[in-house]
Amino acid sequence: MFHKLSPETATRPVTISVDGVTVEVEEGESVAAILLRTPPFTARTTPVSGAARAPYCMMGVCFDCLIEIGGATSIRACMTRARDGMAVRRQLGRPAPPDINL
Amino acid sequence: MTEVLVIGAGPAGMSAALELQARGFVTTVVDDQPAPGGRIFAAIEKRKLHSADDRIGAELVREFRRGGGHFLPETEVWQIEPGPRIFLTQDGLAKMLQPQFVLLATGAQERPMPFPGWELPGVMTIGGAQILLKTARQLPDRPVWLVGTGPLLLLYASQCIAAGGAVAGILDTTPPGRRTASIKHLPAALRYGWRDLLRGLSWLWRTQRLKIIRNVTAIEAIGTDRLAAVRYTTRAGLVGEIATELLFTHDGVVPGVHTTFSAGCMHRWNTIQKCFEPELDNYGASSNPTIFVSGDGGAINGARAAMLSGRLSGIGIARAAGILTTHDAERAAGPLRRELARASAFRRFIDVLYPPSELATSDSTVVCRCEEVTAGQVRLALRGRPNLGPNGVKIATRIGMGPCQGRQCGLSLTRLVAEAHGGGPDNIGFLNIRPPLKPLTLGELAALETNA
Repeated sequence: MFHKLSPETATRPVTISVDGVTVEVEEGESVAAILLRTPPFTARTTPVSGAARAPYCMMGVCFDCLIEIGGATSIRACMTRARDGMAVRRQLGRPAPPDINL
Repeated sequence: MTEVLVIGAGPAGMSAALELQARGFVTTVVDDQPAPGGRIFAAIEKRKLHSADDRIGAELVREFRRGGGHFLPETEVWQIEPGPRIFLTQDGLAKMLQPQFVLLATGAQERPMPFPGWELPGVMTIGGAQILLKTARQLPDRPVWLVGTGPLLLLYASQCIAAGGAVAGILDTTPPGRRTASIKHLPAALRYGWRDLLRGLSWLWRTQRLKIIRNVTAIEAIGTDRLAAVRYTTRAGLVGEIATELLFTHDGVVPGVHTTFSAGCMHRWNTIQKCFEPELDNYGASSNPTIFVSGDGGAINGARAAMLSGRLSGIGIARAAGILTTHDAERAAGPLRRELARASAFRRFIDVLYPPSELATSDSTVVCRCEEVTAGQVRLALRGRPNLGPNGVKIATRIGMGPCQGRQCGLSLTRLVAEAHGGGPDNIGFLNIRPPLKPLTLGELAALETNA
C-alpha cells in the first residue's frame, strides 16, 4: 500500500520478523508503517466478524493496528518502535488470555 | 518549589514548559512519542524543514530540549484523578505522580468520518497518511483518492504530489456557498495569517489540476477484504463509482477530550466546530483549578495559537501558585490574549470556509469500528426510549466498549442520540470515559502497588 522514500538523515537498519518472515527496517520506525508496506498490508482480524483491518489513524486513537509482540497481545503497532530482533505477529481475532506471570 | 506535570510535548506543551521553567517551576513533560514536537512537528529533528512553520517548530523543539525541564518520551498517561494524581507507564513500568498542577496539552484527533466500508483496509485517515510521510517517509504506492474537507486535505495532497506520490482525485464534501459566506471573515483572517492564506492558496493551486468531484454528500467504500472501489452521491443526486485501492479521509480535527473528560473537567458543545471542548477560564484553567488545558485539546485553533495558549497557561499556573500577583499575571497575559484573539478571528474564517461535512450516516454504516455496531443498531436501540442516552446505548449495543473506548464512535453516538431524541448535543452529552485511558497490563498495575 505504501513505499518508502530514501532517508533524509542517517538511520540504522535492524531486522525484525513479521509472522515469521524476516524484514529489514529502520530502527525506531513505527511498526504500523512497516505493516503498511509489508503484504498483506493489514494488522489484525477483528474478534467480532473476523474482518481484516489495517492501521487507520497512525496516532494511537483507533486501536485498529493491534498486533502481538513476543506473546504480549493487543499492542498498537503505530505506538511501537521497531527494535532489532522484534518478533511481530498479526493478531487474529480475540487473543487467547496470556500466561499471567507477575 | 512547585511541581508541574505537562502532558503532551506538542507546541502547547513545549511552550508551557518553557514558560514554567523560566518562572521557577520544576517541570516534567511526558509524551507518548519518542521525541518532542507533537503531531504537527512529528520527527522534526530528523526531517528537512520545508516551510516557515517547520522552522518555527524545529526552533521550539531546540529551545525545549535546552530549557523545558525533564522530558519523559514514550510515556502514556492512563489515569488522571482530581488532586491531581497522575498514573502513567514508561517502558513497561507504571508510576504515580502527585504534582501540584497538571497541564493537559494532549492535542486533537481527527473527527471520525463514518461511512459504509470505512473500516476496510485501504481506507485510512489523511492525518495518518501525513504522519506516515513525516515520520516514516512513506508514500502511497498507487494513486490515492482523497475524500472530505478542510485545509489538511489540501496540504496532504500537495505534500504527497511534491514528494512524488500520485493523487488520483478529490471527493470534496465541503457544502456549497462556503467561499461567499467566508468573505466577511477574510479581512480579520488576513491580519493574523496572510502568510498562512498564501500558503493555502499554493495548495489550492497545486491541487486544482486534479480531478475534483464537488458537493459530495454520501460515500461508500466497496470491497470484500480490502478496498476495491468508492461510490459517491452528489448534492444533485448524481451517483458515481470509482475503482481505487486507496482512499484517505478527512473531516477536520476535534479536541481529544478523553483526557479532559476522564479528569472530571466540565465540557461544553462548540456549535460551530461541532465538538465537545473543556470549559476553560481566560488562563486555560479547567473547572478543576489544579488542572489546566492548552492547545488544540482545549479548542481547535492551530499550532501557533497552541504555543500562545501554552504560555498563557504557564502564566495562569504561576498566578494560581502565588508566584505572580493577579496584577502581574494580567499584564503578562495581555499581549498573549490579544494575539490569541487575532488567531481566533483567523480560525473563524477557516471554520466558515470548511465546516464539518457530517455525511449522512446510513443504517448499514459501522459507527463503532471496535465492536462493529452499525448506525441501524443504535437507531433500533433508541426507538421508543426517549430517556436513553449515550451510556444507555452503550450498554444496549456494546458501542464504545472496544479497545478505542469510543474515540472513533463517541461523537457519532452523541449525534445519533440527538437525531433520535431531537435534543442538542450539549444536552445529550458524551459517553462516560473510564480509566485506564490507555491499555495497561495486570503486571504493570501490580508493580505499581508494590512500589507505592
